[in-house]
Amino acid sequence: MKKLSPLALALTLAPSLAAANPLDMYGFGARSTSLAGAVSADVHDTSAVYYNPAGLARLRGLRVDLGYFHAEPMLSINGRDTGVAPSHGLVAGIASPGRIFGLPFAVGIGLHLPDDRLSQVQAVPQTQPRWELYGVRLQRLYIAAMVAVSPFRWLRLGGGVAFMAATRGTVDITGAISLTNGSETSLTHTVDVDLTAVRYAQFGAQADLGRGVTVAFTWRERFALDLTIDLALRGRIVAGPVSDPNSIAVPGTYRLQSRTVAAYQPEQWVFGGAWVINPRWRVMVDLTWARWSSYENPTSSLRTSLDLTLPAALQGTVRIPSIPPSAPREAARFHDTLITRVGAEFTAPVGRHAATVRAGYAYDPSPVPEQPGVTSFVDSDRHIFTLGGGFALRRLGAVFPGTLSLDVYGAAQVLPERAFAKASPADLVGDFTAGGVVLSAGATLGVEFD
Amino acid sequence: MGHRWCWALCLLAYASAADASPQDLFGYGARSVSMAGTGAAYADDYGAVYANPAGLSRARDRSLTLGYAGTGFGLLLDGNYFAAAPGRATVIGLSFPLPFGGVLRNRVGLGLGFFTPTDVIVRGRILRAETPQFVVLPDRVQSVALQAGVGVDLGYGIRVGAGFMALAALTGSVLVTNDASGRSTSRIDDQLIASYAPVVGASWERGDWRVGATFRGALVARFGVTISAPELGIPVPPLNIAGVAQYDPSQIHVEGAWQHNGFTVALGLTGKRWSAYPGPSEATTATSQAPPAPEFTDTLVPRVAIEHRWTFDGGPQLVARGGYFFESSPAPAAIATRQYLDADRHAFTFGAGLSTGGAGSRFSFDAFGQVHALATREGASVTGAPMRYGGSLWHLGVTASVTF
Repeated sequence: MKKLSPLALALTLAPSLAAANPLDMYGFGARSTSLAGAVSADVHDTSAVYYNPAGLARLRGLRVDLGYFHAEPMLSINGRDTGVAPSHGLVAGIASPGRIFGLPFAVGIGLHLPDDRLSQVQAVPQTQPRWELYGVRLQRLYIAAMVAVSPFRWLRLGGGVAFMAATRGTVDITGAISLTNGSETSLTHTVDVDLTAVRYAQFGAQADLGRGVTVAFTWRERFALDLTIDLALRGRIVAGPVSDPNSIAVPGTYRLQSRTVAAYQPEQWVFGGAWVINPRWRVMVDLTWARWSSYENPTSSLRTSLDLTLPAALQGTVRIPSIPPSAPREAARFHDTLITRVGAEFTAPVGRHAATVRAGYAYDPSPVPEQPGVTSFVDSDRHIFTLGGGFALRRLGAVFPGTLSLDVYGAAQVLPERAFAKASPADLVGDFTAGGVVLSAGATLGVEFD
Repeated sequence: MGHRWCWALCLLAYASAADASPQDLFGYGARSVSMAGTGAAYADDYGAVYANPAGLSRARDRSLTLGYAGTGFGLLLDGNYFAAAPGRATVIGLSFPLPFGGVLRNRVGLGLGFFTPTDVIVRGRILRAETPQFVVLPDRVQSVALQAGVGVDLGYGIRVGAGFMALAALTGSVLVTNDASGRSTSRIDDQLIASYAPVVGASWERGDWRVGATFRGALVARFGVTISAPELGIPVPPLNIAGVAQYDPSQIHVEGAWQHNGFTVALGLTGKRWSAYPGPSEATTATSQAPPAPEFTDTLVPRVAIEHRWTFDGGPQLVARGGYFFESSPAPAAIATRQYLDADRHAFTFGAGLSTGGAGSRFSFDAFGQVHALATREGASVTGAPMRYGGSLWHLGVTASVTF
């Protein structure tokens, strides 16, 4: 039992390698984020790749966006900071509109690239309370490619795929482990691992209803990543010199099979609307239904076996250890959420240029239920306040017939303190409270040709 | 002891994040693949991201390309087929001019290129050195290729370009220890990090003649995970599960082309620095025997290709392409302790295309293929007995492009 515990934990915690979509949590692009993400009906830049690919068909010319973001979680459990890792990195997008069969058409690619790494894995014991939706889970790459078409002047349709990767593989280790002299331990390994492609779809539509009103919907497919692993360790445990044929050697095979759901993003339906009140003012709202109820406990299903062949001299004196069964997985029991986002934008002309101020608010209820049992997933409702602005320089000369824009934003996610109570007074974790704030900021430089 | 290996396994799974570029084997883009991997002197579409980014400055239309390609193997070892999984992949290419005005009008172009296997993003297979393996071939086609570039027309027929190819590598650590209650516990921290290689190129054209040169940096997908278990009661040293899953050598390609009356003829030479290849695997522990050095050698790859384009009434175009290149093997002959199998390859390439316009757009359909014949080679088996190996492989694909 003592030896199996870390084994189970290792695989149990493996899913922390992957994460819910970081764009769900921190936004994508300065303008869209400063409007609290309420832009499915009114997205003006390459962030349409994520918020609503139909918006790409609205672009007038080739657009390139390049930006940077930084998010700093300050989340605590029982009043003590939990050291949740910050996220920071590059945001980029490119979209090229044109016409096919006379219809407006566009293709776009969006990229969210954390600094230093494409993804990070940090595993901690299962029973340790951890912020389930923050930290290294958000330290991963997002890349997606979308196309859009406008079959009618009032209607735009878009769709495409985002890319992720699941893992399946085998490791075979052979050799000898010396009980008496570590320097004599000699092992070799082979690895056969496939990083399998996972593509998940996204579609969207925008319809202009007249009088400056646009309605929209976006659908994002659920996806989860499987981590499937087979391991075989074939070798000898040797007491005495490894090369000495008289040393006691116990040949054996240890096998392990594990399947883990390594990442999860809920299916999402977004319904949005935007109203361009006049050339200066516009407001927008999004309602997102996130199907968290199908969230799987990120714990592996595990099968192990140990087959040792005791030499005759040890028969009856040494007992082969038994492998205890792996712990059953508890259902995560997350629940669906309805996320509300609202935003407003004011634009003031400055000569032929323009200055813009934006603000937004979102309420994102936590999908994490109470944690009375062995799991300790920590989360709380999120109140997200955003503020931003930008400046657009138009017609800068013959060389650059387009618009150069710089947008900045700041956001604060406020997580009210939440109390978690354990059912058992003997629970090693015990009751705890959790809450905090996540501050984020970013800027995006955009170039759009006429 | 099993849980130590479990940790190794968990992390090794992510070692597969390593990638490599199948374009090193075949070239990239329908035109380049069917013309023996040439293009440094004449490429003007999305394939220029690999052939020579300078060619992106020739783009005059926004173009989107989608395609499908497959690779199969008929590798032989002592007259018997050597199992090698076929590869299938989708091709996505984008190229477009940046619509500057004034002095920059029609001078700057961007390109993006993706080659994404349908089943796997990458295959990372690290075998023991004494296991027979075609180390340069089968698994290298099972890898995603991501490329981007920009080209600039400087005038006077001079174009320059730069871009990059991207892969992923893994680094990490695992510590298995005991907690205060004496139970085993563990900490894990690993990261996928990006691995980039530059692609820079230049070309010059005068009349019907063009020359081009491209440098591509080494693209290395390494993984390394250290596993430590200091309190297990068994003196197990730190385990180093490390190696190079995929590797493309740094290389320089020079090329000349002649274009006249619908004909394009290209001659090229690629130098690949395989001597820097570190080998696929490392010693598992400090006391374990290290795998033998691969002792690869640098190679030169001569290429020749021809294309003819028929234009009908100034509208539809029909294109036929062909080529040949010879790639000598960088690997020495197999010996008992190092069963790295590879042989010189004669590659015959071919392709055809049709393009037509309509409704303000132009549509192109291209088919491309390569057949590689591996010269039969002799080496020593793991028992020291003589053995022969060789075989063939093929690569076929189609693409459809539209300008918009």
